[in-house]
Amino acid sequence: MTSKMTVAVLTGTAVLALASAVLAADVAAQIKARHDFFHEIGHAMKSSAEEVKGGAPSITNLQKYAAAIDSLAPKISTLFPAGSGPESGLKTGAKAEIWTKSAEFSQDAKDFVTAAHNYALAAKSGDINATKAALMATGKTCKTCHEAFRAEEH
Amino acid sequence: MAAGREVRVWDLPTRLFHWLLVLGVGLGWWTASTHRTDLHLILGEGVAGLLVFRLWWGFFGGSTARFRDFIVGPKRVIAYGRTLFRVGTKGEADPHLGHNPMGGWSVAALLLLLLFLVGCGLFAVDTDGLASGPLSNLVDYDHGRLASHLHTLAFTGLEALVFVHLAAIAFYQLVKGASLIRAMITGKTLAEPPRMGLKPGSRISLVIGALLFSAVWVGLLRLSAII
Repeated sequence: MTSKMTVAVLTGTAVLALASAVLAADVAAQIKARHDFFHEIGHAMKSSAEEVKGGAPSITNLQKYAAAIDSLAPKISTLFPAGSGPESGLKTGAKAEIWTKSAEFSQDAKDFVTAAHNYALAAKSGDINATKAALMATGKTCKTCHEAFRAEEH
Repeated sequence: MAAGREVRVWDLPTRLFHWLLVLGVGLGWWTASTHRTDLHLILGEGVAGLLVFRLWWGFFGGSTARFRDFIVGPKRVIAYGRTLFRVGTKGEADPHLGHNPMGGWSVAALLLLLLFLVGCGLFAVDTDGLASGPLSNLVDYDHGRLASHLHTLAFTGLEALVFVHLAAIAFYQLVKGASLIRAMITGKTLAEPPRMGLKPGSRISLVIGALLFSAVWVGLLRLSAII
């Protein structure tokens, strides 16, 4: 190998390594944004559950949590860009099925957005029982999607 | 085998505890793997009650159920281990009524791990943030998720201990010709040489134990109920 060729090969390798490092950092950021999103939602759901478990739930608190979930929920459709699944080699609970069965996944995501909105509307109406039911329905959409598309251990 | 005399080795509360625990853990496993979280919580809270009962019975129960009867020092464990493979020849028959020195530690390990497993479950928060252990309101979301992971990890440990437990039972059955399963069902075992059976726990102690079990189960059920 001539020295020119060696330089060319080395440069090429370095460029590729740099490019993939930049991409990996990108994907890592995507995964982190996703994780933070679900963390926020999980937190608000837990607070909601504690409110209704007490026996004397405060509707103003429920309104606050429901509004938080409702305002976050629609973001879900932007949080699963192609390449951010397990094939990235990074730590993620997102299963490959999210992209291979994207129609089902989109439907589950849509169901969640709708349920979260209904939860916020029910809370706004002030009807505790309707709010509880809407909260349970929202939790069910989390569960349905997690069972199909979220890895148990990651 | 020389004819021995049948004596009582396990009292009814200990046997009931044992088989209810088998049922509770078995169903707990099934409900967890099929995502029936509401049922899983009810069962886990029942198992918590069972464990509290067993702790009580370990101090105030029948003689063979008491911890000081079967938690023994390393010398006796090693001495017992040396005789383990000498199969039931006369004069070397198992002198222990109840848990032998090795089995006692295996029971202690099972109980401790179960306490940890159920303890984590009480604080665990599921991924929907909604289904959660009865004491999860005492921790934040992250610690609740951590408890959930530890709960799962503890179950893997439990699988290993249950495997050892079953292997030991098979060993006693096949190599030593002793049916431990039968003893845990009927409460009786062949005593050789003949000797006294267990000293049962008092009735009042059993009543207190039963009350503890119910109080823990009902209390936890109430805490996790979405009213």
